[in-house]
Amino acid sequence: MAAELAIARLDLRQISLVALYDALDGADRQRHGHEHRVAEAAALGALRVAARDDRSPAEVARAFFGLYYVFPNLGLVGPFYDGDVGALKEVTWLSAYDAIRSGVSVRAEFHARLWEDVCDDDRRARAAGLYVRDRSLDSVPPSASRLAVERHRRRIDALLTGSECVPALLAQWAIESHPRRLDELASAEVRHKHGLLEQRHMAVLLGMRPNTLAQSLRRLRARLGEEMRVLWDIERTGGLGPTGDPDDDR
Amino acid sequence: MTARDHTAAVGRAGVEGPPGAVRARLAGDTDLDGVLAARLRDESCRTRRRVEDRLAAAGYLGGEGTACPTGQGADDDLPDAVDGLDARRDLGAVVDEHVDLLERIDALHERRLRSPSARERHASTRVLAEALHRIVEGYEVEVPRARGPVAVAERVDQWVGRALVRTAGALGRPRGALHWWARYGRWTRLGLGLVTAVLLASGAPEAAAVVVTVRSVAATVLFSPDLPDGRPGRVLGYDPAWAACVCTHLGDAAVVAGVGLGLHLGGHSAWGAGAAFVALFSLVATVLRVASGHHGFRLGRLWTDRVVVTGALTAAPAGLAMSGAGRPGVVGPVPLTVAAVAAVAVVGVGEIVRTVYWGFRRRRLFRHGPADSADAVPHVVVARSGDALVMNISRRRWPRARVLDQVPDPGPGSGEDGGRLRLVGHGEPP
Repeated sequence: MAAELAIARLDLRQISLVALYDALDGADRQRHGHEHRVAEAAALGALRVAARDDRSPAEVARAFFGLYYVFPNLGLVGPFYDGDVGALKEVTWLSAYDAIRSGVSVRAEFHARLWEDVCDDDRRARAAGLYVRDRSLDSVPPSASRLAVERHRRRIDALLTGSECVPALLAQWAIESHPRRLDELASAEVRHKHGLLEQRHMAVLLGMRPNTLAQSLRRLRARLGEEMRVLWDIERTGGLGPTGDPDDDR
Repeated sequence: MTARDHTAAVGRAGVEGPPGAVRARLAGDTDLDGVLAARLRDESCRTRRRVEDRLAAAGYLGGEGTACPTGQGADDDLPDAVDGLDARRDLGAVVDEHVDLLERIDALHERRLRSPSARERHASTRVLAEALHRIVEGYEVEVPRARGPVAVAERVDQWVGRALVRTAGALGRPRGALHWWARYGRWTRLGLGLVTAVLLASGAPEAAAVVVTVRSVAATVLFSPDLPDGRPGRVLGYDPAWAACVCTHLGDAAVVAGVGLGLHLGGHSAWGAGAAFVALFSLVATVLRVASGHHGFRLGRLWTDRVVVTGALTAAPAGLAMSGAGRPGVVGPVPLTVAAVAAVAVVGVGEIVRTVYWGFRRRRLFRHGPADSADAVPHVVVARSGDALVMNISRRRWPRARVLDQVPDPGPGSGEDGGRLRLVGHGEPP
């Protein structure tokens, strides 16, 4: 068994303590010293059954966060983080550091930080641009007039800007664009401990039920596609005047 | 997308290198030195408040910054669903409403430009203008109410306006004349004003009095709020209300300036200089009021202003005519004319005071508004200047005022299949 999988048998707080205890200042080390010693012992016990590994328990715990928190969310990295894997890794470690001090689950801390970044206006605008291009919402038929194209883009922009669930849509798309996100997350050790930002977590951060968010996202996606179809239908048939004469001028 | 596209997907997302290499790097790069630890501590201090807000909103953090009990299972991590909040934020309905609003605005544009009915084009323009104004100003157009003497003056002014409109309606005005005046009245007002000025400057106050009287009577009797515009004018961005405003006030100023010249020719140079100053001053006052529209004010011309200025402009040349050489005149040479010019000056002062008053009222509103309610400030305004489509996405709580006023559905037996839009405001020239 790989060391990262073996250490996943600890609970998330223990993994956080093992991984980030070195980053704590003196007062925090004193406060969480006993807890850390227990976690360290548990980590050593778990690593005994793992394949031989020269790394310390702290390094293995940090590798755990890299493999099961950073890697599954790599889809988010491109659009929102300018492709910087290191930034996401630091966000993960920062979440573990905060989780030790606050007592909140490291996963909740991590998702809250991710959501904070996803909702950032600049990052969101960049991701929305990539989303529009990726979903072919920006493509236009060659026969479309300039006015029709402008109107279409205006409507798409208004829809993407005006919908409160857009961050969720963008995050969902970003995750989906990374197809191996679920690799190795289904094993018993990490099934309930991985950090993939799923739709139900987004729903909680949005303050709504997961079903409502799923429904809203489905409708928003359908609406975007429908907008495009209806628009081209209108443009195709609406180019003629009421009498069918293109030169009909009232 | 299949797993084979994985590299392409990651490449498109901008992650450096193939996924195997990234994974290996994540597993191997686990160094945590002192510098990085210090940076983590600083970053935590800097951003902790925002993250705590997110955690508290999601129910992970208690009210006093304490962690809510969380279990080990994923399902236990999620707090209970927030029914009340969810009910208020029906996002599907929000999306539908945005799309619905866009479709309505598009339909209004379409009717405004292509409807064969001039009346429908005009009505669409008015509804659209009101809707866009509300969008620009925010969904809730908060109009500070006047108080005390200002409120009394407003009520009096509205009463005068209603009385004038009633009187004009009772006159049985010929439709052809109304249509002609609506189309050419603004240019006629300007032309007659300039003619009056020329006549006064050339020493013919009697003719000037006749001309200005004709001008005032025609403007009073044939007044119509409807200002039709032609298709070429629309293409060029021509605004008939703006043209009417400019023509009327320039014509009025020309008459006052002509009165000044007449007084100068009659030997009252000091009074003449004063009248010329009043002409310029009234123009400046009007420009100040109209320019306040750029700051979101909609200060239309007061009905009392119209009455006073129309009366004064009619009386001033008449006073000059009565004071001609060799005529005793019922009224002295200067008093009637000077009183009329003074009335125009008072109207100008009133316009300036009115503009400044509403400016102060709005500043007070802006200062006190955010303190009264935390979400009074719009979150973001997205403006499209192409066809003046402006979206204001605000963080106001549900429900918020509708952009388009809609009369409710009259019912299944009425023969109409839905609600209809209500016209708001009047297309009066400012």
